[in-house]
Amino acid sequence: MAKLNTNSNVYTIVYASVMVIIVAFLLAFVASSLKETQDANVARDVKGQILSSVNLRGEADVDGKYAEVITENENGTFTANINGEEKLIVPLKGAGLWGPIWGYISVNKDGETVYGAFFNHEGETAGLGARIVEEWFQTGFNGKKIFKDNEVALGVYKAGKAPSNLSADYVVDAVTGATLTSDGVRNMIQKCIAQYADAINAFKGGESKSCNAKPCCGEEQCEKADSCCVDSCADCASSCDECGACKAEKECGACCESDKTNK
Amino acid sequence: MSLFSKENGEVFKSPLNLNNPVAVQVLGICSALAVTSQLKPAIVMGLSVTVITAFSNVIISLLRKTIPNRIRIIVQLVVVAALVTIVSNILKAYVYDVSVQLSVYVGLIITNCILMGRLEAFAMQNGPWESFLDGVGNGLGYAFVLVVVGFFRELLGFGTILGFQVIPDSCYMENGGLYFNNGMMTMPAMALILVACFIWAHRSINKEQ
Repeated sequence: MAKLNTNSNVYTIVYASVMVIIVAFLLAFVASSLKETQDANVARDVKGQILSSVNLRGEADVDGKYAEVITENENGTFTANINGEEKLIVPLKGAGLWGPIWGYISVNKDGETVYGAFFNHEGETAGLGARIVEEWFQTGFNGKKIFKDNEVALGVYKAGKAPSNLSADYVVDAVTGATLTSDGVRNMIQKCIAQYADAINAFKGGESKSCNAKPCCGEEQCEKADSCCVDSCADCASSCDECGACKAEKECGACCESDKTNK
Repeated sequence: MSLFSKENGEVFKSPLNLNNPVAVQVLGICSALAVTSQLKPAIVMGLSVTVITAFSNVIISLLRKTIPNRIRIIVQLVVVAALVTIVSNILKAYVYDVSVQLSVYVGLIITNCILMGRLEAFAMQNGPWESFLDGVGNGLGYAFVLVVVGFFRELLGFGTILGFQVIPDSCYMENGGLYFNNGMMTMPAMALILVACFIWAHRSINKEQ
């Protein structure tokens, strides 16, 4: 057999094309045959992260525990049932220093106290920002308060740098040397929890709360709609005063009556 | 020529010690820093590199007479990249937590100088069996350094080995002891210092170099 001229242009082009086609088929085959297992792993990882946010870290049987404890809600939140107590889990998504960060934070039935938190990141600096995945940082959130004057006050601050009007209940110590990642965690918490404030309120009130601000204030637009939310009809009048939108007590009473009938 | 001749034994053994890719040739340092903060990812990374070096060496060695000279580096890269992609898919499917920990570094095996160096310097001139031995030898030589560095970083940085606590809890400061973990060990800079210590020890043992 005559020796091929391996340096000719035609040979080079044919060689490259054949090689690329073979490799492409091979990789496509491997990727598609392993996809199912990989997707299952990713799904299990997410479940593990959600469980971590209710302080169930390192569960051996993630799928089983998840099915037992967590219910998924329509609005993107999760409800966890820990020893008979309900916790609301809010998903968080934000930006760190180098890339996305995300997490889950669980809230007690009072709609106020943090039960547990979990954070993860894609590419924060190892040993600095990456430490937000470590347990000591996450458990620092346990028992902290979220809302102050209906705003999300909970935040991550450097020691001594927290706003002076915030008590220690709202402040979590930041990671040393990772100011930008810590700022990212704070922004993420404040932005995302604010988005789910309604869901947290609904969770807190449970079913007993149907006498909310909107009927109280009638047709008029209430600027502080949230602060008008009341738990019982007896509070309705005073809360309407605060709101300032409902002038006549009568109006308020009437709407509470109608609410009662709604119940 | 027998499969386990003296020359072949030399091909296999020299990268483990006298011609170690990390300690002597100072190749693959970047990944040695990145994945050695704990022992388990270091072992997995070392094994992945060994498997990929060995098989890409064999493949290139089989193809060496057909590879057009002008695109040989590209052909080598394609072979390595294909193997790396396969390995990274397998890791993702069967040892997910390790693949998360190794994250981008598995993909970066493609750029590991040891691989390209062995392909270009050895597999292009030698038969498949010698190339396989050379690949395994170099991979294990690299893995050995990673494991040593990973062992010390995990032991001193976390007080654990492969995740098991080896330094008794009672020795720690918070429990009234005198010991606490060295946070420096968890940072990449410390890996560089440990690699340097390794090279130092290696050189003083092998004086003839």
